[in-house]
Amino acid sequence: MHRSDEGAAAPNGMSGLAASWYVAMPSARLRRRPVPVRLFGADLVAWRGMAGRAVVAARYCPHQGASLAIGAVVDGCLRCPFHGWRFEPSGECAHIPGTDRIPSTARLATYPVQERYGYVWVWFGGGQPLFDLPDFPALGEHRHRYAGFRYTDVTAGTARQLIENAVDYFHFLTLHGLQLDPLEFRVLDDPAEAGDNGTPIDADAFFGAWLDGTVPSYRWWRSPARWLLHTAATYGSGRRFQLLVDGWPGGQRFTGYIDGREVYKVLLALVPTDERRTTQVGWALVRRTGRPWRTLLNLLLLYGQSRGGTWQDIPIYDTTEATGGGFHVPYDRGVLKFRRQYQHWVERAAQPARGTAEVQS
Amino acid sequence: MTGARHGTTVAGDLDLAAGWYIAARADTVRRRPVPLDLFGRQLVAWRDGTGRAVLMPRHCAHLGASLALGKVVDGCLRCPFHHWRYDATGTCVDIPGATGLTRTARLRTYPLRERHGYLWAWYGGPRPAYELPEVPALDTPERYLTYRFRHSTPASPRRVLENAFDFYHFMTLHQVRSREPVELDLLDDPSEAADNGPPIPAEAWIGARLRSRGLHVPAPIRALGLRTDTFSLLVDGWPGGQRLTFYLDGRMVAKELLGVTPVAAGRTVMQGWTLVPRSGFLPRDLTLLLMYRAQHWQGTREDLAVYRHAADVDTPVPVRYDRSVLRFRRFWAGWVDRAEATEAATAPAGAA
Repeated sequence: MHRSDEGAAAPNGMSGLAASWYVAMPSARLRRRPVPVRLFGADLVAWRGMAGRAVVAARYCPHQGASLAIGAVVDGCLRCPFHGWRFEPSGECAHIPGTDRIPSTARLATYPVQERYGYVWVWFGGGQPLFDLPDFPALGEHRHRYAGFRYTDVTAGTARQLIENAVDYFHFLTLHGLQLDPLEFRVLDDPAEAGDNGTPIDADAFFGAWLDGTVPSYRWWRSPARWLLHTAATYGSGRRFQLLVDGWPGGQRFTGYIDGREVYKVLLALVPTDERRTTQVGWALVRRTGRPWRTLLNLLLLYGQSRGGTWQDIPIYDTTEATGGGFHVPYDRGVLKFRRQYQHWVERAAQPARGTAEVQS
Repeated sequence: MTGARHGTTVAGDLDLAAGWYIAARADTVRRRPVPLDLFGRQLVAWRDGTGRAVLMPRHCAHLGASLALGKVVDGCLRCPFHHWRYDATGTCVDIPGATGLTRTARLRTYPLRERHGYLWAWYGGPRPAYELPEVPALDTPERYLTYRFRHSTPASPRRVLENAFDFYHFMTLHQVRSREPVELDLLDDPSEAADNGPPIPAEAWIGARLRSRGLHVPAPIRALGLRTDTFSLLVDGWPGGQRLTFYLDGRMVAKELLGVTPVAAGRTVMQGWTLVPRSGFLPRDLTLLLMYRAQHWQGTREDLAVYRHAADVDTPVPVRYDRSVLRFRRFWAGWVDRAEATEAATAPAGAA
């Protein structure tokens, strides 16, 4: 992992965002040239240093504020288009044409960056990451067992709202029209309970839930719409619908089971552009069944579910009043618990950056 | 009360008087809920099972989802997210999955009247201080040729409504030429405005008569046979709207209803009806209507240009002829105070 050990204070334009790992962009978008990035309510720039390692830093040159995004990458350094100052992947200024002395204030704030699963991930929250980027074996060592697709949805919702949605199980029944009776919803206490999703997430950052329900059997000639919805939701292979969700403040992993057998996995991550502009990106994967046509059918059903559900969720995200509401009912317990934990990570992001204070000019 | 921040923009930004305002054209609110920006707030308008319009905060008391995406089901507005249902009083009457609660979620509703093709909303607490004033001419539309007008402006509602009381600007901005200068008499008693309609309660009322003698009528219009000496205008209203009657030589030639829609700070819509009485001879009436409309359009254009570039001056330089405008502003300020007191005591959402 490439870390900035002594970067200047990272710009933070978002007061309500939890300290966490987020996605900045798909890896494929970052090539030879620097790319302007709007993230965390701030203007940033991304480029690839030596050996192709991705760097994300504040966009404007500390000299006269020119945009480094229209600069060039030279010997792994980002060169400002204006006076040719060069910055290392660490943010340090390596070269100022016309002078030998490099002022200590000539440095860029950089963010810890990792590249994984086809995305460039950035740590938000000042200084060093407080937990490791969670893994997702379905895209790692078990990649061959799955077939899937990527998705990207731009919303006007807040980051918290997009993550909280999976914990708000009741909206599956109302907004999405799923009938689950009986229904069990449980907030998980122990990260190890979500082992099917991947390596347990740091307990401090972990939030997990378990949804277990049975769909009624509809006869297709009586209520075709419901029959179709519920048959699709259960992949036509059972009536028991189970969903394992776990995640960290900036993303989630899902495993879906029908009649106890794993059918699909989802990795959801966020690109928090501004307070009210968040993009959700992710991977949706079905477990290969050994029968290609069946795998393909499941993949189509997962695609329909993922896109159909998002098509219903996004108008809600786009129009919800972020500070609105406040009248809660018993089934909101999970959401409220999630919000308390999220707030804890918002406060951690607001704390002065660890290990960077002494670098301040 | 946890939902206090619900849909609030500080009313002080708006400096809005308590009163009846046009919320929307009535025909824009049909079966589906409609998002409405009004009073600097995000509201939703919908119709209950009997077709009665309801106006309430837009965001659900639960998690803040927009009720404008919802549906009217069994006469109640149903939130799209968790299917909470609100009745026409703003009371949440159904929360699926959470029956047997001892508390009830509530959204405030704004008093609403549907008249003359508009929805009129009361701003300033849950109870109107007086009924929406009447405009009898609009109850007998068959006697008039009519048209509706609608203009958006950054001017405050106060500036739009005080304009009729600023008689001097008719001569300067609108270039009304006459032998004697335009004069304005503030009326003392609501019954003096009987031509406009039944009296408005005195404390919510302000009225004036403007007159100009020896009116200079441009030659092309004189050539049409319009010879006139005295022009007068009877205007009266409440904070939020005005009724106007125009006379030439003492004969009524047009009437107007002007309503104001305070969308947000810096965004006001002025809209309403113009009526020209039918004489039985359509060509004459049509000519009059067109002439009236042309001068209305021209005058409004001139006003809107001033509104567009104006700033509010805290302590205007006092001149004699501003007496009536200043009087209007005092009238307005009194109702702003009332609105602030009553709105502060009205929670947009809460539990009961």
